Amino acid sequence: MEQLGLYLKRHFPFSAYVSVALYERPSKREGWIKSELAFDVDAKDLPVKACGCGQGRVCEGCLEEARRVLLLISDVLRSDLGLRDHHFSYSGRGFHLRVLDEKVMRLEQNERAQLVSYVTGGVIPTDLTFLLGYSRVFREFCARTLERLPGERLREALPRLARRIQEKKGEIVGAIRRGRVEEIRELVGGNGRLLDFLAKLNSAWVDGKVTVDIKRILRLPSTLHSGVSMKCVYIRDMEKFSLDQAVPRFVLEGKG
Amino acid sequence: MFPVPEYPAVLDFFSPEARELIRSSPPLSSLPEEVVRRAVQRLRWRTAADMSVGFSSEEVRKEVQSFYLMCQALATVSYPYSREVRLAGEKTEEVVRYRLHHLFREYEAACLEVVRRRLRVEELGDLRGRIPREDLFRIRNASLREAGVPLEGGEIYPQHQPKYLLPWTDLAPLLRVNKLQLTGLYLVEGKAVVTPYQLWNLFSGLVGLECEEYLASLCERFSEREEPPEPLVRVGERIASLLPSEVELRIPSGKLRPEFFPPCVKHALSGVGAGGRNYAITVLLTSFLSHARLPPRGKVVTRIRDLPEGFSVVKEEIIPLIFEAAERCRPPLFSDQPQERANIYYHLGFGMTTDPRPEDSGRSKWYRPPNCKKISSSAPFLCTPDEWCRDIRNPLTYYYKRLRLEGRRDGVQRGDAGGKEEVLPGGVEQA
Repeated sequence: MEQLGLYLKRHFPFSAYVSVALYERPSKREGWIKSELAFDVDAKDLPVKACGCGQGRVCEGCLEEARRVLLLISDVLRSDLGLRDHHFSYSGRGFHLRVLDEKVMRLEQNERAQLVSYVTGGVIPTDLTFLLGYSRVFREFCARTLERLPGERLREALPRLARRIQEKKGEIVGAIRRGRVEEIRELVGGNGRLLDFLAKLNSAWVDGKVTVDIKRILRLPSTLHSGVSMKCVYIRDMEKFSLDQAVPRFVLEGKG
Repeated sequence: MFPVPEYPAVLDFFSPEARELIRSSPPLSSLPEEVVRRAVQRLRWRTAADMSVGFSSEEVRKEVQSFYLMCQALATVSYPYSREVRLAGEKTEEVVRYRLHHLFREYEAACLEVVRRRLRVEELGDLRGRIPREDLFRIRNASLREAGVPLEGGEIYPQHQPKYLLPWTDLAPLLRVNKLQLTGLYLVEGKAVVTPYQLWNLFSGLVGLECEEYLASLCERFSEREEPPEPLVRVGERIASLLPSEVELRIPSGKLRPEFFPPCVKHALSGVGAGGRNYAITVLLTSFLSHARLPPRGKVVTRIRDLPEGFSVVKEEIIPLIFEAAERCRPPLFSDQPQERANIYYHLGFGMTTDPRPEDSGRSKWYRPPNCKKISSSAPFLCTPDEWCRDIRNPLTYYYKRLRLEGRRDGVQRGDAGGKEEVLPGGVEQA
């Protein structure tokens, strides 16, 4: 660590990253041994934004939404998948979760892709009515996505159903949360097209490419994200995270 | 305990008992006709009488020998991930499932002992109280649906009651090839809640999958040798001749997917320098592209004209790719070696010609892609292994494997990529 610190001070690189992979010969990135399981929720790429920000734009509301989504994912990873050893960081534009549980470190790409679908509710379950398990995850994410879905997006995706869904949004969200299949069908119609659409949006809450890639590099906590002048910081308590922790000293001094 | 100590061998052909039986057997190519007949018929088994094995050491031995003979023989006339390999995996799965079903009531503890070598199964126990009753009913119903049993009326057999827990990570091999969906499991605290019926399916699925992998490794091993043992080939041909004729392949023919090509082939496609051109273009690229685009049907296919549209595919799709790569070489291959055009057709089985006709197919041998070992010794500059090359012994297997694993996967849904994605040397991407 000391050597790394000296190296960074001497060379002050534009950006610094750390790999999720462990190698036998790390300097050559050869001899893959295992990889952390990483989730990336990028606030600029959220599939729906209640704050009204456009794609590629980030406000504090977007960041708060990204934080909550990652907490939800972390909860599913613990309660359903039994995974421990979660590490959070603020990346500058969103949040990373790195799971260092040995149980998943050797999983390959396909299993990781299946994990993405599970923790985000990206696939319609065969039975929506289970109180726990994947059905609960799916319902929770669908309700969250629909609640925040702007009318315009609905009209683009489901032009024939959009008006009806918009008018009865509260009831539909309630029926989804309770897993009432018949009620959803009666309220929406359209042979499950709403759930199809929501499942697709759900899986975009995280950047699946990051999770699936067993050689991904992620921004190194404690370094500067030069594009946004914020620090990438390791988060000890995700529940209490405040953006103030990520403001670099030179920015504070500049304000002062 | 089973009445015969080696009986676990017929529930798991890769168990220590089965391996020990094979170690102490005579060579598979010299087994008695009774065992050979059993090996030949295995993939056509339908009835309980076919699949049952009595509690006698002799029957167990014959069963295990016939399984291994079937695998080795089939591998001499087949390819990794071919229809035959898949059928063998599926039939093995069916046989194991049937046997567990048949034995479980009387020998539950002994069966579980075998199952526990692959899956860390435990009784539901205290967790039962923490799972909502409604969910336990729904798990039961899901098990009934899987078995095709109507939900309404009739006695519900105990094999459909939720009874066991097992870590979902033990099922990774099935998840990896999408034979199982994580979202289809009922997970609590890292464990899947399953019924005995579901447990049999999961266990037999793992054995079937290992059978496919074993066959794939045998296919590769045999393709390294020019001639597999003749008696095995004869048995293999007998098995292949009995298989249903419909063509439904796991190896997708059709458009080539260059993104799944191995690094050596990508390198050859981009053109190479003098000294390596002949090997890269004529030997590697010609054999690889033709076999990747025209996957053999598993049985011994030796001529391109035996494959539907084989000739037109070669003329219109494969030859242009090869010739374009030859042009990209430094210097272009045909500029100083025009005879290599004919040599390419020779490697495709048309004899030495520059203007082949369909009837020429078979005049020379249609060469299979060389193995990785051969490539790395003959043309080391082509061999720059990536992560997928682990455990791969032939470039074609690399392609089939990636097609199977990546091509079949429903692409992970992605958010709109707002920013620019940077790719670092070595294909590492950053987030």
